[in-house]
Amino acid sequence: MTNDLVEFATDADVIFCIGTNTSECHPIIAMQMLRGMKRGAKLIVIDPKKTDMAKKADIFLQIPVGANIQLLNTIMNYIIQNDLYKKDFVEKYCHGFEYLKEAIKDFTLERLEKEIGADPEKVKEIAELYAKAPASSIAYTMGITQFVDGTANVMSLSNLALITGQIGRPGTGINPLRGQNNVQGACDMGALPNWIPAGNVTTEYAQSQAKKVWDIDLNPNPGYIMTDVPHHIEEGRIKLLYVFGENPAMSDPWTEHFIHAVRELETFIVQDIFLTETAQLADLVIPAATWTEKEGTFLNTSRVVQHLAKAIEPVAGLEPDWKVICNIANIMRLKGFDFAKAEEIWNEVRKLAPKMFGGISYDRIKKEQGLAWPCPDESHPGTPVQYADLKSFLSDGKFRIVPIGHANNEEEREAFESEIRKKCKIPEDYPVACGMPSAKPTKVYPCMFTTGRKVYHYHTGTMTRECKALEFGADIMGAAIEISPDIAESQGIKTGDYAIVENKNGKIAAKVFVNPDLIEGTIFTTFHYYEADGNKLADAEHKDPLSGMNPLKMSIAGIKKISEEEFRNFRIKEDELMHPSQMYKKVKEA
Amino acid sequence: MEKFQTVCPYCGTGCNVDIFVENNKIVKAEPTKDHPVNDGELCLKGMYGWEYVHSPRRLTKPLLRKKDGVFSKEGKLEEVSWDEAYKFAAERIQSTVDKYNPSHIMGFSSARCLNEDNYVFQKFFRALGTNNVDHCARL
Ligand code: SF4
Ligand code: SF4
Repeated sequence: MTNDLVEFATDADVIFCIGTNTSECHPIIAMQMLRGMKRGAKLIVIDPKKTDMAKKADIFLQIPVGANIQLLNTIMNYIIQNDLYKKDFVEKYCHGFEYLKEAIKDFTLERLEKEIGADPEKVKEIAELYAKAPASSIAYTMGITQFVDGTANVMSLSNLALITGQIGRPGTGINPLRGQNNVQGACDMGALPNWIPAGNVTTEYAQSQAKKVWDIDLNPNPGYIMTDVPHHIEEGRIKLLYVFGENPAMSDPWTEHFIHAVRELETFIVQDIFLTETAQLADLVIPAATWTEKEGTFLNTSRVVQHLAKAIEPVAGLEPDWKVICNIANIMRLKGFDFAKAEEIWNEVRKLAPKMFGGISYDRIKKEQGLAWPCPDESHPGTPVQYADLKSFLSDGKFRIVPIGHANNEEEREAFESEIRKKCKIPEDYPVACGMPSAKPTKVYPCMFTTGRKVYHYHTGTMTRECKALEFGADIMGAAIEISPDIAESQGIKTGDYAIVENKNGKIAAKVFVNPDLIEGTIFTTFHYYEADGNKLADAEHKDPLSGMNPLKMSIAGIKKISEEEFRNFRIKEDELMHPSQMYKKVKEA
Repeated sequence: MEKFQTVCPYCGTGCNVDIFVENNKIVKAEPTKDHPVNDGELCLKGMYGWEYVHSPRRLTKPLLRKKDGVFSKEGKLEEVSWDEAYKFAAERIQSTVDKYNPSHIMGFSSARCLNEDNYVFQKFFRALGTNNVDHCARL
């Protein structure tokens, strides 16, 4: 997030939520937003699903899955044509306004209405509210990023904030609400193939910091990205995989591909606290201490480093994950793994990335209830509002507005990109992007298929399903397939029936719930339950060209009613596939 | 009862949670009062999501795939000593690097684990000469 989540409650005048089911996924952020509304802030919600927040919103616009760019371009075109943009801000602090203006000039309200059925009056109202308010804040999650054009989606949001100058002040900004507790931290700590805490591995700075602090000649070539790993294993380029507290056999899109691929590894090591679906496939499983059994820090979605105390002694004398790695590194006689406690590790991070973390000590975050990076020295108060000086991270300090088009296929996309470059004389090193659907309904797979989460559970459920209050308090239906009423009608399926949802990546079966809150032609399921893991149907073939993200939120599928008996047989087979290990059965029965 | 302030391990909001402990067992969780992030509130996951820590299904010993007492891809997971587990890991990693090169090993880190865990994990791969580390933020 460019801003702190508390600013929804205290500063934002308009909260613009797109592709986020905030009350299900981030209940406390939803609470902060509702506090903001009490103060007088207006809430805009844009989503394919009529979520709880949508019901509370001042304006709710329901759009089809994958229509973000068409909508955002139309909003911005309206803002530009009606002089609602911030001229002085754009001139002084940004590049590329003219490119954008040209790229989106045909995105009219009429066209949008024709293409996705959006009410022009509502779209106008959204544009006016967002652009005119003293402080407007954008919030988004996976509903924006999990598409082939996810990066273009995010750049569109940043375009919107830039042309209206809604950045650099409390209550403004572009705010991804992070799903997992420490996504921000994992990225900032360098759990990325091109990044160490001191920056991109290709940069001189990262190279020299690695030499100075680690005494390592850092490899300058970025590593493999996760979504390519099954392929690299199959091609023999990866022989050993070490998985650390994850459950990719369930969270990886196209599960079967992953399960198949890891069988070809020479060595597969998994470190986790339970014998998860992934761990059952491993050659070596190493248990470790968990949350409350170890001290350390997380980085939340507002970039705030927070301290976690150790509250109990670990079960069976288990050691923290970092210590397990140190033990292995020390057997291998690697230098620099002799940490005695978590704080020493953190202090090394501060040395490696002093501009970001130099001033963030354990003492301070305990006393000051967390600190937001960048925080270069001990007297620095931290940076809850990013870009307050209206300077970007680029070398000239200016923000880039990126021209983004929308195409129906690969050819149209290339045509758009080369035409806009020619027309506006855009230099080769300046980014141009284009949105594109990765899937369009066909005769065989006539429905759009999308995924999400429920308030009780969390990702693949490794932890939450071990908590009785959550497992039993959750939806009485457990795993369910939700369908829009038009599909129910055309297929003759009612709530409580069983159905199979299928596409070329896989199939799942579950009880059906007809949900009037879903937009036409849509099937929805969660990814918490191995019994019906929505990610099995996810499209792992198409990838965002910039981030490598698979379009988890968007695939096509067909649906068919089945009998209860067919359903039961399907489940038994599924259970065996996901839990091959004898030991799992034993523990599960315990 | 002793109280410890920690951070909820579920979503990215980062609510602060006070954990109450008796005889090395968590007995309840409460929202940290007056904390800026969650100001005395928690969702269900933060309030009740700690039970897994004491689950009888927690793994407590390393498991190695073995057949007739030695490592085998065709074997079954068996409990082994920590010594054996650590040696196995160290040897396999080293031999993979030696036989091929460092780019033939890969690590998936975790967006649910500590900064300190993630940091040491990626440093380990970098010290071995590869940037093949990623985590599930892409998913
Ligand atoms: S979710 Fe639970 S099991 Fe998975 S890594 Fe985190 S602590 Fe380990
Ligand atoms: S208490 Fe709920 S909202 Fe707060 S961090 Fe935990 S899961 Fe997220």
